[in-house]
Amino acid sequence: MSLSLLRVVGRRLMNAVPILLITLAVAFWLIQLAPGDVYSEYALNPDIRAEDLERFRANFGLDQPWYVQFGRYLWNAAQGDFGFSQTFKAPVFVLVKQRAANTLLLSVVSLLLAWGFSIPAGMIAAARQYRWQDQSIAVLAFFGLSIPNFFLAAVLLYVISATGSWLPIGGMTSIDHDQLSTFGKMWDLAKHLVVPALVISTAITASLTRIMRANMLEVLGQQYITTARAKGLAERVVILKHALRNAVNPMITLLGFSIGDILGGSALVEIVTGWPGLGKLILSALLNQDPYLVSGSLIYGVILLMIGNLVADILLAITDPRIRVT
Amino acid sequence: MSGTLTTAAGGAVEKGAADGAVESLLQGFARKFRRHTLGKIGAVTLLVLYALALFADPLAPATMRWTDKTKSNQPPTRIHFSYLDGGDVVARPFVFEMHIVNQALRTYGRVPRHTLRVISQEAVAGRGDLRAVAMQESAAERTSTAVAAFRRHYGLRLDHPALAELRSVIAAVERDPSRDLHRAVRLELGLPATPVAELIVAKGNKNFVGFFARGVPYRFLGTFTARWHLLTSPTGGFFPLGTDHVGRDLLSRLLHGARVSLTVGLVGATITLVIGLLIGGAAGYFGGAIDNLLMRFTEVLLAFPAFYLLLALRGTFPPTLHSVQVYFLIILIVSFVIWGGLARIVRGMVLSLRSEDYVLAARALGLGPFKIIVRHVLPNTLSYVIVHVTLTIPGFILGESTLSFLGLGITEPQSSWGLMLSVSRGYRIFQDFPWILVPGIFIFLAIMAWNFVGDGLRDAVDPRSRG
Repeated sequence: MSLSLLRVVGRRLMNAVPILLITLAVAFWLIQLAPGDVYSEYALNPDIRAEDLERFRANFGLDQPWYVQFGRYLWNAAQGDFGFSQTFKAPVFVLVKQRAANTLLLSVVSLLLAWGFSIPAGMIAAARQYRWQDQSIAVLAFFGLSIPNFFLAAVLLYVISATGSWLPIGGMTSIDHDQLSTFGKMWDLAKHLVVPALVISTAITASLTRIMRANMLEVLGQQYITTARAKGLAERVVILKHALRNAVNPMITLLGFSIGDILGGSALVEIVTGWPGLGKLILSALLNQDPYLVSGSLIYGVILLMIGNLVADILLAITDPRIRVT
Repeated sequence: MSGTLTTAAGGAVEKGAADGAVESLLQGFARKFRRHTLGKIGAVTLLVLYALALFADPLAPATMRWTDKTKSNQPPTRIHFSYLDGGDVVARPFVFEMHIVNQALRTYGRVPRHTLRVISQEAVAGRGDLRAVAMQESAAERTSTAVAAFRRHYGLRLDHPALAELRSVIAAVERDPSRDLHRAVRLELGLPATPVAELIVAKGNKNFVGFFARGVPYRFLGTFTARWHLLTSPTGGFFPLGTDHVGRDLLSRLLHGARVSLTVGLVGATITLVIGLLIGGAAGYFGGAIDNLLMRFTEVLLAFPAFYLLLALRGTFPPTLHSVQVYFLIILIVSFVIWGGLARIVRGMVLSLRSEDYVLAARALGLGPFKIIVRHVLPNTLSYVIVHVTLTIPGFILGESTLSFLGLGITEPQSSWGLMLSVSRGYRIFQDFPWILVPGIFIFLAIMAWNFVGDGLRDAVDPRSRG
């Protein structure tokens, strides 16, 4: 089992490499295609001479065509050098490392929230199909599916500030964070997490709930459920023990996909709530046409996606005995 | 209805129907859709929203660009229905004319009861409106302030006869025993740009609101010029949803912004439909290397977080573009991000359809592959495809509002719901001026309504659903 799992991991990695390469090549190409570059702003500064600007560009490799830049970038990245961000005046690796942990924390908490809510909700909706529980969960799901992330974040922040700021508004830590005890620090962080995590998880919760409900309904129509009921098992046991396990399996495959959604969703929410994560970084990198910063963030994003798919594969192999990975 | 059976063609036949008439496939879909309550609610909501967008000009109290620079971030005005004038109750709907009483906190208060205003809502020949507000205690000072503002606004000489004429009108208005009086005046200016000034001399602190009242001129859908608005005040100051940071009426901008925000989905869905059908159809029909190539490409596309792709694509175009270019750019970008899902669905369906007998028959008749795909295979996927496309429309509305929200989409002075929300990026702003969040409610309503309709359509075309 563990050996075959290792092989899955290996194959996943093999598959990810071409995707990563294509993604990066496209990123370099797109940045080259865009008018201006990271030094465009300097050109407006009369104190900087044109020949200095050209020297900067040559130093940074920007005078080369995109495929040469891409090739050099790959060569350096293979040696652990992910380039230098002109906008932030810092190595890309350091920048991404700082932000990545924040985004990861936010994503994982949102994911846990979404799954923690959608699986029981989908289960209840299916078990009580067409009754008020089902209807109200459906309405909630539509609500979560339809409300734009950034608008929900704004409304939540407004409600909090209008009702007396019982939760912090924006940012990741309070000003006095460094003076707090370890527990106080965690509590402070948790309070700052509430709004962004809640907002990110709403949309995913909505679609996961609908999928879970459909899975559950399908499973409940199977013959082994009828058999279980005919044996005289309590409905509770039928649902929790026989139906739930089989209905959850297809959800695990979705885990990998929802990581992509979470990354995209979190970028926007990070911008609105001032969470210092990767989303804000990549937005400013793109706006400033900072090629190495864009690439660094993209690599991280794709790696996160890969890990998500991998975790999904492993979980699936553990929960579903029918799946034998070869 | 329980007694239905499905014919080979897929149309449902009513067993219990009195005349036993066979209903067509479309009629069946329509009947099933009408039984879907949420779908119906969504459809009605959409009809209302699109009608609002179409008739934005007369429905709005002002126009998209009409600005009163003195009234930035004014809260929504409350309509009052009667007031006291010298002991008499006058029943006439009005809103109070407001002004900033605390510059630092941006709080608004009513102007004094004795205020005198001289207002034009002409916006003629490139000039802004004349909005002279004189709030002094003494009537003489008020008159001279208002007349001076009038003179400056039109650039008149000190001895221009119109000044004396305006002064006499003001004197008559001030003498009148009624404390709230609005009088329309036409003054011959004899200027090449503005031969005639149409003014309103208003005494008191009220703006009277009326149905089909004369307001800011507009061109209705680019055809003819009109001045009546469904509900407006000829003297301005009527802001049902408040104003934005430069003093424009939010309701007017909301209604005009609906045109952008709501049509993005329709145009974009059409483009996605064409791309998805052609690429998915080709991949599914030809199979082999073409299929492999196209599907690997969509996989790369889908592997990318959609939001990053959206930003990266927008980044390749210059940030400042003409608003029409931006509009189509947004549609193209979102289509590019979205079409992959549809192409995969179409491919799967075509793959299973291409070995059907009727495709073989068409091929035996000597039809070319393009004709077979377009005429025979794709129509059979259409019902599902239309459902899927309906469900992509919310993605377009969201994509537009996201880009505009980040300042990468529709630009001022145009209007869109996302752009209107973009000022709320700093939470300090909507903390003080919460009414600027209203466009978000409309984005939410539009997306919800499209989701309802898509859900209803899905149930309607689902052969497993009986009804």
